[in-house]
Amino acid sequence: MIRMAALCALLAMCAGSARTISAQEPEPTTRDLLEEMRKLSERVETLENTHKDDQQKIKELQDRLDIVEKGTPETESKPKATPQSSEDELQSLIGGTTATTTPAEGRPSGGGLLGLQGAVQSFNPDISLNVDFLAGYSSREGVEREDGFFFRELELGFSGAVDPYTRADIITTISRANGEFKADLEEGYLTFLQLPHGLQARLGQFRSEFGRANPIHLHALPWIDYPLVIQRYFGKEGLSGAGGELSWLVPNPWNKYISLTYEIFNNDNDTLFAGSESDDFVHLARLKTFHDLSPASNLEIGASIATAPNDHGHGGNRATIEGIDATYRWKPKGAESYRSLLWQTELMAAQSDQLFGRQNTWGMYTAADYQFAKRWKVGLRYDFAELPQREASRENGYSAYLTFLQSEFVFWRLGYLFTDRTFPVDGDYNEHQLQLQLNYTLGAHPAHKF
Amino acid sequence: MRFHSTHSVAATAAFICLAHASAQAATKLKVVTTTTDLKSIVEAVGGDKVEVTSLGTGREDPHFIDAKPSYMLEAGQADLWVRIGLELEIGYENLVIDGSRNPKIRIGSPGHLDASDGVLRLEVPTGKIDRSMGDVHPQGNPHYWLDPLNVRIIAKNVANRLSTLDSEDASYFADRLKVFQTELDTAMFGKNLIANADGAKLWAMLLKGQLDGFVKEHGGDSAAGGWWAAMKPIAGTKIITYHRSWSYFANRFGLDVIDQLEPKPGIEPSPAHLSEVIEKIKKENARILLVEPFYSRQAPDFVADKTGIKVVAAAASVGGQPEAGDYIHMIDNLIRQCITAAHAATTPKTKE
Repeated sequence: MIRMAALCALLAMCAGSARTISAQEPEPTTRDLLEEMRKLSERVETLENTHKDDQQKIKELQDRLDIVEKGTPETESKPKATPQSSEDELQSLIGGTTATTTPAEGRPSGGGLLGLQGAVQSFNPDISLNVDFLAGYSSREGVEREDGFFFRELELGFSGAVDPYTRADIITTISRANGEFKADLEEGYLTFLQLPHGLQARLGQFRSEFGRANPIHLHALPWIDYPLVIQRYFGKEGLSGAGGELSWLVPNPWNKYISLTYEIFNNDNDTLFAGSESDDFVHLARLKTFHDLSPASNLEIGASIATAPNDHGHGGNRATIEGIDATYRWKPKGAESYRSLLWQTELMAAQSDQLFGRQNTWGMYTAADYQFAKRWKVGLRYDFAELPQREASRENGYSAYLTFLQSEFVFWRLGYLFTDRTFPVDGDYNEHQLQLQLNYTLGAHPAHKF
Repeated sequence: MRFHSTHSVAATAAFICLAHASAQAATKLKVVTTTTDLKSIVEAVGGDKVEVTSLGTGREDPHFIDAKPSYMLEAGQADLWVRIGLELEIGYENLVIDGSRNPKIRIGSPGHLDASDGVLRLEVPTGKIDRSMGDVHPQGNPHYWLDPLNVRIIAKNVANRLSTLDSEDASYFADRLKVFQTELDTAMFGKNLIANADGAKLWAMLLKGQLDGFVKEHGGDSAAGGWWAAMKPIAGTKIITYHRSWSYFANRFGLDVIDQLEPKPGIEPSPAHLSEVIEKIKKENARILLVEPFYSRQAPDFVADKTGIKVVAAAASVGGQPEAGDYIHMIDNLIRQCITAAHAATTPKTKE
């Protein structure tokens, strides 16, 4: 460009000087012309030299600017030396061949449509819908519908980071009770992720961390229902409530996973505790440890305790529940990757003041879930429970399950449960149940809780 | 009473924790990677300034790693978390990072590195996507580490991030990056070509389609070496893969993937789809069936039995097979097996 400009200026000057020449000296000699040309070429040379100087100055300025922008001239410029240019060329070539150059972490690089979508989507929470549908038969003939199709639950979950310190999880459910659909809040809590010293806190409504199975959502269980002992102690949907939780990852010399959790929440549970009219709280503590036995197998052992008044807090009556749980997992690698075994056992005991006086009861379940092909699992569960209100009333449950994972997002499960009781329910001491469960997830890819 | 015992346990644990923390005053950067391939790269670049743990072993499906509490423990002690990205880790990453209670490695922090930054991506969906298309990754196929060119970029990303976290050793990381890239380039193009041009230039020529010309000028085909020259004779070979995990490898080495055993990504092979694949193999004369060792051999063996296609069960990750001890050996092993299979598949056909 500068060269072109110089040339134009030169031509203009030529024309200009030619005119002056013709005006002053009507007949210039060849010598004059040659002299004129010499002068002109000198001027061009000078112009070219200044241009070169300018270029050099610009380059120096550019280099200084680079150093200022990059901050650390020593470390950055050293490996730059010669190969940097070919590295740069390669990088620009890669940029050119990629369908999109948007970095996954949303750094601006002009990624076009995908980049735009990413920016818009990233402020929305992850939304997922889970639907649990059952077809069931029961030998029981009670007042409620026992046989038929049941749209058991629709779970609508929102989750995402609220700010750099907290994350929100909100799970609402729509389920059918007494012939009507009702909406409920299953969980809705804020997790404080940036606490120091391995601490983490939750505030809100959440499923309580009592044992292994209770914190797990209905559709994520390896069975169709919660184990009988959980249903008897905490009700059909398990123990949950509004409150707070603080958990601590305990550092230890063995470098094992040990976590301690303390929870305090409203005494809403009316099965063993006093119920929602109570002004008192449930206090709960849980210790969980995890051990890798081999690269393919591990063992989780936990202990929990929960206590709360069960007489609205006035008469000094309390219910206390203790639990221990052990979970063994085996999941080989390599060619055997699609086999796995999950074996879990929980024992629970409760002491509570009831209508018939002090009741000391216990219950347990032990269950194995074996994956024999990539998409197939079989499971067995044994249940034992004493009714917390009346220790003489007991039940034994025997159930078997066959699960087919149609894909990561849909599963079918066939379950058979036989319950043998020391007390009658709807006139029967025994109950047979056969259920087919269809469960599917729509929307955000769920993270698979371990 | 029970609460008393809990308190004393907590107090003891707190004491032990303090003693432990002071004893473990580490000078090395602790890095947790999601896959063994990333581990291999971080170790190459980080040298003795880093201590690397990988969650995966290379012997499992990298999409399905469990969010084990012991991983949370590892992540809790990490200065840097490195992931493949492009949603490969979507099934467990959040659970492990949240469970680790380590603010340093949260997404967006300097201690969280997405290795896919700036890599060459394939199969980035353009229209609307939904799950009827199987397990499609909205940001592109995440198996990009099987292209050595992308590993050059990962290594650079790693070196940059290590230098940010440990600026004192920036020149150490820069030097090691250079060494690793040269090693990788030499493995790719052979010693002779590297002697004539630096690696980046060779890669650039390869991308621009000028490498053949360059080789002619510098001593002809005998001058070319490495993976590139080894794969050239079988370039254009039609192959079938189990999962859509070999696209980058095939793209780099000129193999032509005509179909997958999975009808859609992550969806199990169905009899109907397999019979289509069998027809396709026969019609188009596909010769290699590439399978990661963790997949069931039932469908691949069935297809091989019907068509004579050669099944290559080769590790697509470091540690997936004993031969795949580090990244370069993993690609070596892959290429060796592909070449052997391609020759084995041709010999009986020419005899018949």
